Amino acid sequence: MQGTNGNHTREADIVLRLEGVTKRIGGRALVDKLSFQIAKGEIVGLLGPNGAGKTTTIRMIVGLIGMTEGDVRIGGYSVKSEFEQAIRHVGGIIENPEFYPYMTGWDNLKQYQRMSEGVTEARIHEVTKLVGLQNALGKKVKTYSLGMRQRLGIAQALLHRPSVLILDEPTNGLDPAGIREMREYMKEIAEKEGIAILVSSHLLSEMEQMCSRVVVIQEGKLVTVRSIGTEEKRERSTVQLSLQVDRAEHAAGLLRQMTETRDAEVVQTSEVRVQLGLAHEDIPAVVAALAAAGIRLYRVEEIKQSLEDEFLKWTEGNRIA
Amino acid sequence: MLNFGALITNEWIKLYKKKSFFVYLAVMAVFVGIIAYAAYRGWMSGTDSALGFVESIVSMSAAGQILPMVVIIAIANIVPQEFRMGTIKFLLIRAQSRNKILASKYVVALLFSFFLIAATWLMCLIAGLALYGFGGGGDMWPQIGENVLYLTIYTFAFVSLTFMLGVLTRSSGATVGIAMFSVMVGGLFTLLLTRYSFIKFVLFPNVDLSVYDGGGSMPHGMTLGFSATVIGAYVLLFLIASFVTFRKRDVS
Repeated sequence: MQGTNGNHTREADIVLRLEGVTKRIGGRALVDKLSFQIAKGEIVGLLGPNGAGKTTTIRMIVGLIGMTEGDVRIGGYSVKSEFEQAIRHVGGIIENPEFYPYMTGWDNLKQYQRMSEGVTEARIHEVTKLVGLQNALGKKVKTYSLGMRQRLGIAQALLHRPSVLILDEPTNGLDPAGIREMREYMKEIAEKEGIAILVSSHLLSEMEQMCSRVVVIQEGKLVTVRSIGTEEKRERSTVQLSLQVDRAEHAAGLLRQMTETRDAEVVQTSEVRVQLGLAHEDIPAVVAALAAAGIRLYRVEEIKQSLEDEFLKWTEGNRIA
Repeated sequence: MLNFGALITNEWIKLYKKKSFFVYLAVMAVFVGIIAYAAYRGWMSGTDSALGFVESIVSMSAAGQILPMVVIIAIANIVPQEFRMGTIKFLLIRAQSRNKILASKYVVALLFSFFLIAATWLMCLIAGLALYGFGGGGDMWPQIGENVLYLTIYTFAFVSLTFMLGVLTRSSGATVGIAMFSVMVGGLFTLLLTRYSFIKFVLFPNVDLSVYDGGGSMPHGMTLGFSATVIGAYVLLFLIASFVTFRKRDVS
């Protein structure tokens, strides 16, 4: 049961677990037997093309939409049968953060403070300071910019010290600075407070920079769960390099000779470019050999397969099959 | 367990923080003011004391014609606005059951009705005292009590109907429209269909209990007790429909 995603986390650290979650409307499965789990301090991305069932999944986790089958467990409690116990561990922003516009930021937060046990006014000050809204609390929310509302949304979500944060498209409508700010907050929260974060988005590069793991779904089904490569891992595996040289043909020949024993593929891609895959520790030897042979080396570039490439591969493959 | 009072506080604040809260009070003040002016000019006959003035204004034939409408407009929004503004999402992801959340809204809808009735009564009393001074009409108290009770029950029935419409339609426009239509057409409907006996099981001919006042009688053997039971049954039905719908609803 454990380790299906290659992530050997302890059972006790699992804060959110989806168990065969299914939503069917009129015989059509919007979400189909979806199972995955999230441990403390993890930032997990829920990825999928439009209409894959991301929003439906997130809304089922927080109880806004009922499940046809399966269950969600938050901190061990079932969302289906122990909703109040389960949901108190969750902070969330579902799509855009919407507040009562005719009330001030403070009045809005007071609403949620009254609804949660053991949240003091001091805590309101604490979270508003964390998101940098302390000077805007007296203003009505209708005067807030989207970025400010987004920050008030985070304050609202953190108010009752949740162990899981669930964010649906949190960077929607934010400008680049806002997106970056949001990303920093999330990393900080996950690291400092050990909160697990589930974030849905269709912005792949965004997810790549933020998440430690991604769950990819398509047509309501789980496609794959991937860890986002750590630096260490990348070093160990084969690196794809593209070299820009003055005589590509000559260089390709030399490299083929050199790497024969290591069965690395060498491809001459243009007059001045050679592409090859080799181990991290062999790179200096290759560079030295090219220099020794009098080949001028202008660029050594790593060809990274981005999450986007992989994502398209996963989802496309699924569609054909 | 969290106390239910916190939820009621929240709902009351949501109502109170709107400018329209005072508009509803102002409408009732203008209404009382106009009648007081008419009484001052001597256009009203049969009133000669402060309490007599109060008695005639808080009746179904005076305040009963406007106050329920004002209440309908004021509370129609109480559920639909959460959906319209999108705040329903934050509201429902708290450690509170949907039952409790909806119950707090219903309680506040009733509280607002009682508040507006009490405020209207108070404004009438102030206007009456200003016009006629103290003294006289001491025997009016029981009748004032009865009139307030009729008004309260009538308002209570329509608040429950409006509340259910708000939950079912999630649209304040549709809610106000249908509720107002019911108030206005209810009487006409009763008048047209009065020869059919099934009409006695419809809410509208039963909802105004003041018709039984002073020994008045209704067709098809309807009595005060019968009408009160019908009102109770309808309110129960409205509440069951509201709670069942709200609990099951997918918020998307």
